[in-house]
Amino acid sequence: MKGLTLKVVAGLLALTVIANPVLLNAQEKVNKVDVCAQAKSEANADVNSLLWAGVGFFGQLAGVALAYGIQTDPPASRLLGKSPKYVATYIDCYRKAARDVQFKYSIYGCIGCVSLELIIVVITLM
Amino acid sequence: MLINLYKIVVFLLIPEVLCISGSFTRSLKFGLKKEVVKGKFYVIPEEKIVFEVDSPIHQFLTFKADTMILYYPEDSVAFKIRSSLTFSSTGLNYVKYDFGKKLKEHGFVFLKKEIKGDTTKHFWAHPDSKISVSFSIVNKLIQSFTVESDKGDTLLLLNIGDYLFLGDSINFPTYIRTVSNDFSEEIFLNDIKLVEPPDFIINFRIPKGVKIVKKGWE
Repeated sequence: MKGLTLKVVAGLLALTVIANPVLLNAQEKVNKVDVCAQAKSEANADVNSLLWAGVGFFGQLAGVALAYGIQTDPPASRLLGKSPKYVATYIDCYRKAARDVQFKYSIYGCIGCVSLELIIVVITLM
Repeated sequence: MLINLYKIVVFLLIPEVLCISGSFTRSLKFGLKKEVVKGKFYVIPEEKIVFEVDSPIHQFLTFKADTMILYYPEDSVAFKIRSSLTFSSTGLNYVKYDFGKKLKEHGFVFLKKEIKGDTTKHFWAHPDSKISVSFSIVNKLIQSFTVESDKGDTLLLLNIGDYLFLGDSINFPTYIRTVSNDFSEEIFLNDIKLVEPPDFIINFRIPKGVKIVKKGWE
């Protein structure tokens, strides 16, 4: 049972995440544009751009492919208490936005690596 | 004879499968806006966690392997969300068993430890980002967790308290508070008890006829 308390706490702390703070009633009215904008904003904040730049830098084309292929999902607690319409819109927009960020920064990293290699080649030839 | 009787009583009273159940109320404040979610939870340690939201909508949320399941009985629709990565939970990275080990894995360096009575406070810092982390432990139970920027601004404050002793080394918090620059969240956990897990929790499945929307299998 050692560590059980903290593991249980950790499981419950899946609730402690920033969520869309909309005043809700039992029949939530979903404005898809607003939900999508919220999802994009949170995806941009969540995705580690430096990490994906590194993936592109060290992995080059393989890294870029990885960045495009990996799906990043929102924290589960952002969907707690949300309507089906909200969930459907939010997940789609979040994933697309996260993928765009991952892909963009992996390309930056890849370009950075290629540029560095070219500089080294030029210096070597001089 | 008495020892055997005790064993029989314990065997009958304590469920074979441990399940912690209770109700929760989560309040979020973001600027002038507020959101309140209420419901029940069921935790089978090491195995399963199920949330049943009652307000503002009837919803079940649980996890199965790499899939998160959201089920809406009244709308007769369910989502199965699959991810190539583990579902992320902000804050979870730093609030797990053995905080020191996790902080070290993230590049943090241990600075010092202060002991006052039964409270031990640990201080860590990241050499590159200059972010500092401190956490307090009382009687081996985490009480608070703070993340500060290099300028001393509090980026995240987490308070966990009012632990309830459920027996068998299980101490369950009944209050969790998270504060950041632009939001605050409070979670109250009530009616916490050890129960024999309901059958629908052990064998949680989406009923036939429910529309299932799959995300992540594209």
